[in-house]
Amino acid sequence: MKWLLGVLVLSVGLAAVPATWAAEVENSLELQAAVEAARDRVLPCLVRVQPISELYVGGRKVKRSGFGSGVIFTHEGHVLTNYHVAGRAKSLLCVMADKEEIPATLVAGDPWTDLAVIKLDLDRYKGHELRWAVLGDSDKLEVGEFVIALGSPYALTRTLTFGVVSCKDRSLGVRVDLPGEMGLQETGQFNTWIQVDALINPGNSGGPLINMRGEVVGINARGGAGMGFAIPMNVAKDVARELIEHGKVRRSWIGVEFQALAKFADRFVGDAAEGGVLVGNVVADSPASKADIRPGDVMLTFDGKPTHARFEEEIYPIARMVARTEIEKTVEVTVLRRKKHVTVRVTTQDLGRAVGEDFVCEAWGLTVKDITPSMARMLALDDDQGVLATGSLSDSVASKAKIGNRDVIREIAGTKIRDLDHLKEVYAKVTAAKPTKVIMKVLQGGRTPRLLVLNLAEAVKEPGKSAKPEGSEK
Amino acid sequence: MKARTIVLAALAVIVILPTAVRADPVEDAVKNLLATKTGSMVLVEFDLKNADGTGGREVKLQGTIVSADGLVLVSGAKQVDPPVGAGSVKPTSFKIHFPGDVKKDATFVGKDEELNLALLRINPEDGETAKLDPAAFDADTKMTPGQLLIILKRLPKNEDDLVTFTVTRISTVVPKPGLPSEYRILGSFNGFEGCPVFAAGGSLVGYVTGRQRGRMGRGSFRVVGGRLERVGGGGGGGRTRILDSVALLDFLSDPTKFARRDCWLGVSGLQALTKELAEACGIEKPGGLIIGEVKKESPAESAGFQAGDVIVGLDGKVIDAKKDRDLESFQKTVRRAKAGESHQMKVLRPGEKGYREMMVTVVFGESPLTENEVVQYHDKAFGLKLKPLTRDFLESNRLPLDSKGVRVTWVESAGWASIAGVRSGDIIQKMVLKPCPDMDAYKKIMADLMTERDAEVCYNVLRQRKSLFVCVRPDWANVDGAGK
Repeated sequence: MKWLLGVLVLSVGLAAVPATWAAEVENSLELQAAVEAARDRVLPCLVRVQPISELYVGGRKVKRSGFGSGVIFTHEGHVLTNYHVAGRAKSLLCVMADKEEIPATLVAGDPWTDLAVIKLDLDRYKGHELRWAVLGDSDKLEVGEFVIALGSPYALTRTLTFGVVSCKDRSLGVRVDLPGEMGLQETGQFNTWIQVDALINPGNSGGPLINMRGEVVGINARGGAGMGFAIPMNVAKDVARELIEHGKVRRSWIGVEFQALAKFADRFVGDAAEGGVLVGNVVADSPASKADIRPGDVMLTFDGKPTHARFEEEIYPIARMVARTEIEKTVEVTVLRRKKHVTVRVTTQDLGRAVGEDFVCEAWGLTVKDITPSMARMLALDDDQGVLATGSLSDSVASKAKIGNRDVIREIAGTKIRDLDHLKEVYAKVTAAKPTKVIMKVLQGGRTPRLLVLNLAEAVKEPGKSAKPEGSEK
Repeated sequence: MKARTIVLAALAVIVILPTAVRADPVEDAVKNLLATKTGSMVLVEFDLKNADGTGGREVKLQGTIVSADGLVLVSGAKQVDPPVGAGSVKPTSFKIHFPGDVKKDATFVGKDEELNLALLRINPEDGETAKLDPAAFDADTKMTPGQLLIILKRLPKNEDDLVTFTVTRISTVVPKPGLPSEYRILGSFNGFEGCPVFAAGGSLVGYVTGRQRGRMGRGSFRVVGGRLERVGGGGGGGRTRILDSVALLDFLSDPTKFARRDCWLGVSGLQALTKELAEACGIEKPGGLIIGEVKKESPAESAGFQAGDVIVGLDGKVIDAKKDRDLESFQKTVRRAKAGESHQMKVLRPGEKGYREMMVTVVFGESPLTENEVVQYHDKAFGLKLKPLTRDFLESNRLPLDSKGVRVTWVESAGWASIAGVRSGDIIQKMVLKPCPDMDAYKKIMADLMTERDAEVCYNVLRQRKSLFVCVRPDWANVDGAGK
């Protein structure tokens, strides 16, 4: 009888193995079907973006072509992409999912979140019917949730990579510089990042990160070492709306840098209150400094809204809330100072641009950049007066006068330079007057004052050297 | 057989006798010196970084222990303490490398650029345990031309504690008005700066202070018409300078004289009035120094100097700087001036109607303390090295001159301060919410903390001109020196 029992058990076991295997296959086919369904909802909305940008480097204006990705999100052909892909583009070419190529124009860009909106020239589109993606709710993402990244890594169009959400609110905790901005523009102060293990390579930038329902939940922006980082869609939606409606994102600034409270709660707060966020730094002459907010204060409310950042990830919504307050609005801020409540009134200020506009003084072979207050702080300048030299052409008037990269031009021919517009005016006047020498006062490296002489006589002679004198032609 | 024995014996006498008679006194002297006089010879090691943040190099100089309490004499004043604007960052820490691969930290004490000497002091906490063998300078044995000298040198690759030597003779004694005489020796010895010089009898008679490059290369020479003429190639050459023990003892006996402070005027961005600049500014003649910036709370500010002024005369002497390399002479004059004395400077001041000439009376002051001159404090409990804030540091970091705090110069890896997130370069302004304006305040707060063993230690630091809070909850059982 024992042998009969053994045979029975064996038969049941043998029957069970194919059943499990079949179930697994079934499951994976279901997953594959889900991936394909999600893909089909967004892949037709994917574009490869080829920007042609103008850069002001080394004393001249040069054109550069790059590549990135983007996703169509309106029926009018608006495409969401990264600022570092298209934010400085003068013209744009896009390759659609059906391989048709059409031009596009830049609507506006926001370097603070590394996002830009471009608009396809649909009149020139001869392909299939236009499709646009559904924008999802990035707050509903869960760690471990399947996600798909679409894009053009290394310009290879229509590429799909697959993975999971590794972390839904990653704070990188370090200063993140926006590529191509000379280290003058930070990004990511207003958002955490969605960290994924789907491969994100150069060219994926600006492409959509989608969930299994085929909704765009993030804009892929960075990647490396097997980790990808996307800007959450809830941040991107807000930015895109502002860019389309106002041509920029209106943000307020009060001049405070926040720190999470966890490590300091006992010391600063004790039993005095619940919540709050630590004021780490207060920028001199900022609205916060004028309102006497001090480093070490714990901010409890801003404009009547409670603030709470026990951990680093919780700082970003507060930064966003402050930024989204109306510009030049006076708000009440309650802080905890030495365990006592203090209420102050702060008038917000426009955050403005981080990086100034560029210009080329062609006759001098010199490129310059306007100095914004943010740049002045970053470069430790006393004020934002003057313009920043960003390069000179070799053998040019500027390079012979030894104007160095990152010198601050403060004075030209006795006229104090206020900003870039003023420089353009003075430059036009000086070049029209055709002097042989122009004296320029610069701060070398933004620090040491120095007088330099632009020898324009040589610049005038130069063309004459190569051109033959009129009499010799006969 | 007998004759052969006699011949052999005679040969033996001929060979042995001269050997005995010709015993080399120099060889004996060298052996004696190597056996008894190398204890004070050390290597001084430090990093010399470029001011623009690029590159830099490790410097190893010969040093001599000159006192039992840890004073170290070193040649190379401009390397040990580069003048402001020399293109190098002033080194902040020095290592004194003893035989047996023992290293001690040292701090800059003073320098004399004219004599190319600098004095360091081994930090007291380490100095107490160090067994020092100071050199004994002999001021009684005079150096005279033709005298034989032996110079010892510790090889820079110190693994084997090797000491080499050279034997030379004094060629010239050059009197220097107002300064000790300079002794020159036969031959040019590269890398012997800072080496002790001994007489054949073993007494320490001098110290090599420098080597100057001469126009005459090594090459081959011949005498033509009583003059030396070079016939072959070769480079380098030059002369080696020696300072005698009399002069050294004179300086060492009067540390204030040795550590004589440079004078300063308090201007920056000095620029020569070149022909091109003079033309562009509408100044008749080139030659002079344009002031870029007048420093706050400086002698120049007190005297009423303004940015853009052109200095064209000092005490009746014309300042005729037409190229930037001419700046050094003026800067040297200011550095070597006596603090408190007033000087007349002729200045061209720009105005609406061009430049007008005027006289400015200025009293040079003693230059402010440099980074090297302030003593570093080592907080072993939390793994930090700190220095007080100097004007030098505040100016180069564009910080207000009235800034308060102590500067972190080193953080021990995995020390409590490092775990809190304190970094080298931070300025600690507050600790546990108490103001920490200077080193005494820091020590007081730390002493209280070590007794109270507070749960959290919070630092309010200034990092890249921004305020930041960092905090740690130390495991007090594992804090070195924490009170029970």
